[in-house]
Amino acid sequence: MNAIETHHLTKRFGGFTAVDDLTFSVRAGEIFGFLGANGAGKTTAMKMLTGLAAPTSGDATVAGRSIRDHAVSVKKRIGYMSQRFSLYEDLSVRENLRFFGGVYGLDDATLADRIARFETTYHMSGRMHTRVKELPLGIKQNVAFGTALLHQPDIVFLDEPTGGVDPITRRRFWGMLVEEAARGTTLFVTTHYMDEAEYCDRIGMMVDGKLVALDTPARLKQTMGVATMDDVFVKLARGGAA
Amino acid sequence: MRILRFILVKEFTQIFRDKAMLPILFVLPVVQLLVLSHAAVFEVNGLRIAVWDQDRTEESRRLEQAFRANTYFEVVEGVQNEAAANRYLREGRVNAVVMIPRGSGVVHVRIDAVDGYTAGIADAYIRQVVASVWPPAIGPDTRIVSGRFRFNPELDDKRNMVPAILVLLITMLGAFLSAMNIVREREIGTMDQLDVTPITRAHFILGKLIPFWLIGLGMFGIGLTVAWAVFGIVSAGPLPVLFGTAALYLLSVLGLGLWVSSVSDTQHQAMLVAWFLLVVFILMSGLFTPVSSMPEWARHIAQLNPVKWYIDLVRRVMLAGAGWADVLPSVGVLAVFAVAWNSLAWWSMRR
Ligand SMILES: Nc1ncnc2c1ncn2[C@@H]1O[C@H](COP(=O)(O)OP(=O)(O)O)[C@@H](O)[C@H]1O
Ligand SMILES: [Mg+2]
Repeated sequence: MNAIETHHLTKRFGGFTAVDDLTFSVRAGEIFGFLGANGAGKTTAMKMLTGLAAPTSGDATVAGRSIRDHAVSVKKRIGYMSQRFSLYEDLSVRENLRFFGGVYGLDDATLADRIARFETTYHMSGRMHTRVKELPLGIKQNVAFGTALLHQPDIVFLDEPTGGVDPITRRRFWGMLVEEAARGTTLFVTTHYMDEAEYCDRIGMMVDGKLVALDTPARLKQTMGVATMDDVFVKLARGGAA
Repeated sequence: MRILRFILVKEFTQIFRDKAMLPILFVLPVVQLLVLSHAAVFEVNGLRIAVWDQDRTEESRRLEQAFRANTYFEVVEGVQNEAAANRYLREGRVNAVVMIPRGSGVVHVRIDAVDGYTAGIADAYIRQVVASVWPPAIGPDTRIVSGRFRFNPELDDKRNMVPAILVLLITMLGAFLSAMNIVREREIGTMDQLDVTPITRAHFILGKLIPFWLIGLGMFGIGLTVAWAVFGIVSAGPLPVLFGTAALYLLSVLGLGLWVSSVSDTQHQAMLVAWFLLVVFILMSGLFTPVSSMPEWARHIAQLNPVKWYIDLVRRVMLAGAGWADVLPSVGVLAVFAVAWNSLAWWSMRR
């Protein structure tokens, strides 16, 4: 079963094509890395998949439904952690969790249980009543991730979740992603850090709105005859499609 | 409904956590009522006049004394010829020159009409002083205006102003706060986050409208309390009519705020758009220029102004004691505004 399938998915802004004819699929339960330089079209593609923007042409299905339906049944099955983790900075961690859990329709008992579990998973005891704006960036990212998972979605979209943090925090964050995928959640992650590609089951490489390569990290390196993902990227960005 | 509950909890938490909010709610009504009702009272104090007495009889001196004795006038010395009279007027050193020619039994008055409003009042005041001490008619230089200004219109004007200021208060609060609040979600990026949740457009709008609707009504209550405590002004008409119509009126104001937020990307833009609209609405509300003295096209446009309608309605209730039956037609108009603004907002919300 595929969690996501796109067919000639395209987004134009005026005469500029930000996402150009994407056709690919993401398997249920895998970590799918969407790699590319700034401006490659990763966020735009993700916005179409999450229903935040309508495609100019083409289509995609997420959790089995067309993204053009914008169906509530699909919304309940996806989670989204945007590039600018959109938590309410003036609310505490607990208040954010209650709000986002509540609007997904969790009942009081479930909500209390999930919040308690969040507290232990992310080592947040003693910080639950802290306003989000007072948390360090790395912790904020954990909270945003935990919030996106609160309603136990099947597919989680993460847009550059590790932007701006140090390598150790990044590694720890990816550890959490790998654990979550092991529970069966599909993760669709964008990044422009090539080293993070190693954590992904498969990689889609974006250059100027086009998907120029799609494979496992190991096979990409092998076919390109290079040692690191960085080199794969440099080769692809220079030479076009593999 | 459960979704709405979580949204309302979040909205109220955020609104009352905002440090600017409590001052806005409690200080703004007091300041506006106190400052604006004083500033906008239609009374002119300290009119500067020069008395150019060519007659120099006992009667002309009696008239001059009457001006000096009157606290509304401040008599400026030094105008004893034509050139000085013109210069003093031109330089704004006097609002008017009262000239008493020799032996004619007539008074000539020249008034600086740069500020037509003050001029009208100066004219009326001068006429009354002249008429009180000096039966002869005022000469042909005098502009003729109606004598509706009285010496102490202060009390009447406050009574008239306070209801209007209450309306302005909830108008500005409702439109600004709702517009800014919604645009803020877009600015900080949480709008996208809400968009991926099962929250519908109706949930979102109700979640934003209900808090500001209640806050607007609370503010209206605070304003009425201040009017009573400070000015001793109590509504002549029933309070349920005031609050019932305020609830309806707030719906249209919030609809306006909602619409402003739907066409703005940043709080800055929302502020400018809301400000522009409110200035037009307030200037054309009849508060500063009576609608009846506007040009015809402006009078027609004024009919489309909810602020005008509601100031009118509140004045009739508070001053004339109007009840439900009397205000029913205006209530109908307000309902049309509420439906129109909110439909427009609903339609242009791009979420
Ligand atoms: N709303 C928009 N209007 C016009 N151009 C846009 C808009 N959103 C994104 N773009 C452009 O589309 C391209 C891809 O942007 P984006 O998807 O954000 O890239 P990435 O996430 O890979 O850095 C960029 O050149 C960006 O300037
Ligand atoms: Mg991006």
